[in-house]
Amino acid sequence: MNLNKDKFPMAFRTSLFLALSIISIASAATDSSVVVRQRSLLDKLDSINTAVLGFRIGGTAKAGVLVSTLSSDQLSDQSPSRETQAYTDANLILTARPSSETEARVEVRLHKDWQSGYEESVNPIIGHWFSYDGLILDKHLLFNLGYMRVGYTPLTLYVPEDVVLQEPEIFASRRRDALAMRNLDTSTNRLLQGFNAEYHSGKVGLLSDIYAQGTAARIRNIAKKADQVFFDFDWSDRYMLAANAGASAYGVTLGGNFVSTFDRELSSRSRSAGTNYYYEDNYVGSGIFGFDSKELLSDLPVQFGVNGEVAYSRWIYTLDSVQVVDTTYSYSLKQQTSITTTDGVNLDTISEYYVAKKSQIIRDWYDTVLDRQSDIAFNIQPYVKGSFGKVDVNVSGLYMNNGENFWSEQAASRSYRGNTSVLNSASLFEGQDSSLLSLFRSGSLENMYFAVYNTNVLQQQNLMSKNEVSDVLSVGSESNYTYSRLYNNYKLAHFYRNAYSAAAYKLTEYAAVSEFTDPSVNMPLPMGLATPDRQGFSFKGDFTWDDAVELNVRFGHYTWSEIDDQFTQYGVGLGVDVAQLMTFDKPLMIQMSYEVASEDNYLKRKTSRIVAGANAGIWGPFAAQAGVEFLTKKYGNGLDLYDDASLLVNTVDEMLILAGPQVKLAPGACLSVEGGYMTNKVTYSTTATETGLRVSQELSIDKFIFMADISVSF
Amino acid sequence: MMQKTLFSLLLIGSAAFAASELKTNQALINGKIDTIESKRGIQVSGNIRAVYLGSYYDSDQKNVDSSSTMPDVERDEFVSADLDFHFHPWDFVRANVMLRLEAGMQDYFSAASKTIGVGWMNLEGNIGSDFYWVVGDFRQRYSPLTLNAPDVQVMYEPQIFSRERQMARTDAQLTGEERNLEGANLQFRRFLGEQAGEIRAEAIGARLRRVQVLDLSGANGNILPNDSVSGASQSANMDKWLLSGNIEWLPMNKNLLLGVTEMFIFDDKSSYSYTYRHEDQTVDGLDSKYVLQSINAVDSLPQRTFVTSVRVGGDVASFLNNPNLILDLTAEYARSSDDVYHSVAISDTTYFAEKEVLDGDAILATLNAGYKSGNTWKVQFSGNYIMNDSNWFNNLAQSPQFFAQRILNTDRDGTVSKYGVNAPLYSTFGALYHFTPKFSPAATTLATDDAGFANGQTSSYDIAPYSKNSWTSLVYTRSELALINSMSDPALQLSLPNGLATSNRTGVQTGITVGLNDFAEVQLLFNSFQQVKAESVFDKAKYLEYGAGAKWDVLKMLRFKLPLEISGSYKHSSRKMGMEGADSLGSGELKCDFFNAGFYWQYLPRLGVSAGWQYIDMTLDDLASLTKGGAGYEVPLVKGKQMQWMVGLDYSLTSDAWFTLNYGIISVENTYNVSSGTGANLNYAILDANEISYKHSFTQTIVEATINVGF
Repeated sequence: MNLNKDKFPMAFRTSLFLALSIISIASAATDSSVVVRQRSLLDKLDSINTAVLGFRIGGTAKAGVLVSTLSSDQLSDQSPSRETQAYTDANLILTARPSSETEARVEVRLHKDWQSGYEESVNPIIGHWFSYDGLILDKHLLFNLGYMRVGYTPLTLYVPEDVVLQEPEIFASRRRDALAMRNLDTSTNRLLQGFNAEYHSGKVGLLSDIYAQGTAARIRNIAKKADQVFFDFDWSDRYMLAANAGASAYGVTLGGNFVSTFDRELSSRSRSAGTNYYYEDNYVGSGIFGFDSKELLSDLPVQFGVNGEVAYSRWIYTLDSVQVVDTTYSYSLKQQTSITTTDGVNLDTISEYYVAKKSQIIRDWYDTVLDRQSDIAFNIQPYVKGSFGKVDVNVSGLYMNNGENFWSEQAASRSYRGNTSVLNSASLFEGQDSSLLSLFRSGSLENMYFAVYNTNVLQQQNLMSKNEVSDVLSVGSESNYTYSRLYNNYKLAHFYRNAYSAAAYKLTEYAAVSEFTDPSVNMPLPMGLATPDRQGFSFKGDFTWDDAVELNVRFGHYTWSEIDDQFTQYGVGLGVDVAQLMTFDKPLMIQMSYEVASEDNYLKRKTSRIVAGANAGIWGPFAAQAGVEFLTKKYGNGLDLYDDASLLVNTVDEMLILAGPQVKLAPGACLSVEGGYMTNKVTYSTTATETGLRVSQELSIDKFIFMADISVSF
Repeated sequence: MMQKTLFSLLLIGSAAFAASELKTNQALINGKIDTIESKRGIQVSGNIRAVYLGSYYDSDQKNVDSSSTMPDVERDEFVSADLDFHFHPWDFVRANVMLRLEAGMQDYFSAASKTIGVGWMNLEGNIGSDFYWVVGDFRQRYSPLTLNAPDVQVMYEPQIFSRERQMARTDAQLTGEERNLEGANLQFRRFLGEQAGEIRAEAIGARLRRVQVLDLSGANGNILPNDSVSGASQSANMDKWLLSGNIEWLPMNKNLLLGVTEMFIFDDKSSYSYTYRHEDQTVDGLDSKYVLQSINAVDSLPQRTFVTSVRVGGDVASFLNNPNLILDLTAEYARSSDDVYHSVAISDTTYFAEKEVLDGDAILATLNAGYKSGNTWKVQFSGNYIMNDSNWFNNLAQSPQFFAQRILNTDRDGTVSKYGVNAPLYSTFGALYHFTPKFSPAATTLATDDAGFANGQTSSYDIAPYSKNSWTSLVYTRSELALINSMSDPALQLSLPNGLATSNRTGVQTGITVGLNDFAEVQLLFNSFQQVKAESVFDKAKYLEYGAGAKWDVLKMLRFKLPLEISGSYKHSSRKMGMEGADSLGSGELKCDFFNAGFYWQYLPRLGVSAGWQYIDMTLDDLASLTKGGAGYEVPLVKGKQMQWMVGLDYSLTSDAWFTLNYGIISVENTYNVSSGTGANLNYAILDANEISYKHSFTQTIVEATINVGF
């Protein structure tokens, strides 16, 4: 760089700032025209895709290794310390387009774990996406049949986001991969199976749009086999019916949404009497309003608006049990040849007397409402964004007030579940550490960024069976026929170790696991904007300079009124596109952020996350990525794992470093090598058997990680 | 898929990343252009095998055990289709996927659910024209002593049978003597000019075995289900890996070869895993407590093997620039270094595995010499000399492609069918020529309730569908190799059960081929080997093989376009393994005579008639019959006669595409020594008092229709 060419002293440049703002608006307009051209190009590229009628096969394939070597002083002598995934994996996408308006889509997954030691009889492929979608009737009606991703509003049908501010690409891509294994993505749309239709009128008179949408989906399916345990299982069929409608004009949008999620009781009534079934029905209705200045005040240098939603929910908890509806008494005459009087005299006579017999006939099932809750939730989100010179500003606020008994099942469950053992799952720990890990798989970073996909042989240990028909999931005896049921033997089946899930918790289910919710991701609002019993506000600001330097500021304060718990959350992020800034011809991006969340009651949790990373183009097809993340979770009052104070978790410290090169081999083909180091230190306390005093203990697990893979899309 | 973003107005304020639309759009455009560029066609090929096979078992013998109630007819009916998808086959990076579609033939239950499996999957590509890489499934062969999958040879095998073998091998995805592996294979080849020749550098990293809990009772995954001898279970406590490098230089216009190979085969001890099992693994053992056990308790010690090989070779005929001369010579020396363990007693109940490193040497020299006069006639001598000592070990070269299995009428001898060659109903022809990808065995007691399933199991396999095929590309462990070698078929694998890499062998393998035009050929063979080191109480075993064969295409000789080929061969093989002080029992000789005769006449374009006959006569003297051993060998066998004939019609399009209708009979007659003191216990026969010899015979009548289409 030739500094002599810098003709503008700093003071002068600063003084010119305001004057230049007019020019910058003009340049923003130029940018806008580029954006318009980009959009047009994107449309054209999409139309190339949709213009191809008939049958097509495409997809992605990936092959490589993931080696995780664990070290810990607490590891059992009999524990493996290294686990290697060595695999070839392909996702084939088969599409058929009978016309440019509709598309049938099937996705199948093929997976092979490398070995040459024993014969694999059948390694089945699995179909994991079947849908028929279309945009018909002059593009007014969009429909989805089969698998679909649908989102309404944050209080009705939605997936709360799991956001890490300025998450480096090396981590973000791993999270996307883990989500994709479960058919999920980073959008806020919920993965469903059923039917969805959405109508948009386009401009009608003064209205810019009238819309209506209906969605029906089966959420759960009743178990078909009572005596064999598997995991896709529920007591009854569960359905969701939802609809919304609204209109917009001059940037103002008004609409309403309704989501009903209910158990279909009759689906479980064929089961034997004597078992109680519990149902949860959830109804949520909401109204939305929004205003965006762009349509009405398009000449302004800034764009502003507001979005708001008010919702009302009902939740009904019902016990379904057998009702005795018909009790009959019958009498019969009996003879007795010898009757002894109360004072012991044997009358030795033949007597006749009536005997009563009570019969109860079970005729029907009976609902008992055990609990009923309803409440209101409300939020409003004003925003403003615009460009000032080279500075782009995007600022928004939020005020929310959700009632204590508000519950919206289809908007409350996020994809990230955590508390799963992903890497080195066969490792064995001893004593208290084993007790700790049986309930608390604390590695948030491992859960967020790693996933394992295997095809494993079905054998007696993963074909679990039970002796009793009822209460399948609790501890109990095995079937006496365990060994003779190995008729699935040597067939491979697909297995996940993945901390993400598409399932939506019922309220009672969530209540059972809420303590274990990972506080490192959005602690104040673990169910997003639909979190019950939250009042508070937040602020988000994103500031970009010259498309090269991006600053993010976050602040939030919320109250959980039932237990008088106050949450405070703040964060700051910085992303620098050095290549743009310094006009390098190779990309170089640096990202970092710091986020903190805390509460002053309940478990007195406090979490902090520091993340930093970089992406760099090096030479030709060679690039490199790196990232580091530090995470601390503190439980001030201790997390009581067994509800008896026998084991209290106090602190968890985690760190993950990942770095490595990438080589672009061809369009859509990439070789990636990554090495990493991950630590997880859990401090917890137990009661010493001898003294009865609390003893602090520490479990420390370190993992060296090596990954190398080649991926190809075709 | 259609991803819907509804109510974007509501989401404006909550964007996760604040990147500008300009940048986001640019990333999207780049991605879409990449996607469009990466879609460059698809090529589909494959192979379809459809088989109807009825095997009708018959025997005059009085079968007395419960297996006599089992079906005497096995009908295998299936279609197995391998569809190979090659994605963007003409680009620098390619993806290949083979789907195997299998359908049994019945329409009573689960008719709609046919299995589709993943048979083969890899990514491959080139960087420039010199560098090739493949990740996933691949095949590779370096040399007979390093990386090789030894096949078995049948001289002038009649076409009616060789086609069946081809189908069974295709089902096992075998090609030549290449080994199928899963991992990464890198190959660099550069032609440096005529004098400098070509340099080749190759490297492989492959996982040979994966930590995996397998039930101890299934037919697949166990060499001997429900058995506890070492090598019975193929489940792995540790990940087993192969790392290898191979460098070859072919200077002088590729007429000289200088090569060096280094291989490292090891178990990753850090991955040693345990599993919880019931202490008592029998059906009655469910109340026994769970205990932590090694995944494979009968083969638990880690492998650590280094193999180093150097080889030189030269094509003298090409040096002399004489196109009629055949003269080439190669020599290979390999050394293995393998950890083995001995159990040393520390106390009455505690044992310690003491490690010993065994260094073994192997030498292979190959000479081809002969003369050919254009296409008119050819005389060629081929000879191999081997000197492999008893410590030589390389399971990547010694694991055979053929492990003799009971294939036909396995329900008939249910509980002992796992003993393969030692099962009483075994026939070489069944093992060699037949296969069923997903055989569903009958339960020993037919009932559909739980108790029926519990009581219906055999000790040879769970009554689960399993693949019956003797052909495989598995890499066995040392103890598995010892076990399957004890169950190798003497008619096919007597002298070299592990190919030219068989340990403890020295000797020569020679052959002379005389060819006349393209219509007649005669072969002579003579092989002589002996053990380098005697086994325990035995003398060194001596192996002798000789034979001859010929084929003659009569119509081709008369310049007809369509063939009428007659072929035949005879091979004698024997092993003598005496024992000091046991001269009265004989020299420990096991001898085998194998006859082949074939006929094939294509009388119309695409229509042909074929016939084949094979006969194996095996004799064991007293010592050999008493000491033959091997899993399941309980009653001394003194003579085994096997005969097979088959006739058929075929409709052939190419060497890979045909439809055949065949009828034939396999006859087996085994004579056992059942005199007292042999521990004789023939569970399928009633013996008369004082009977010292028992002859057991049976036939299997084969009715068969096959379709094989490669495309």
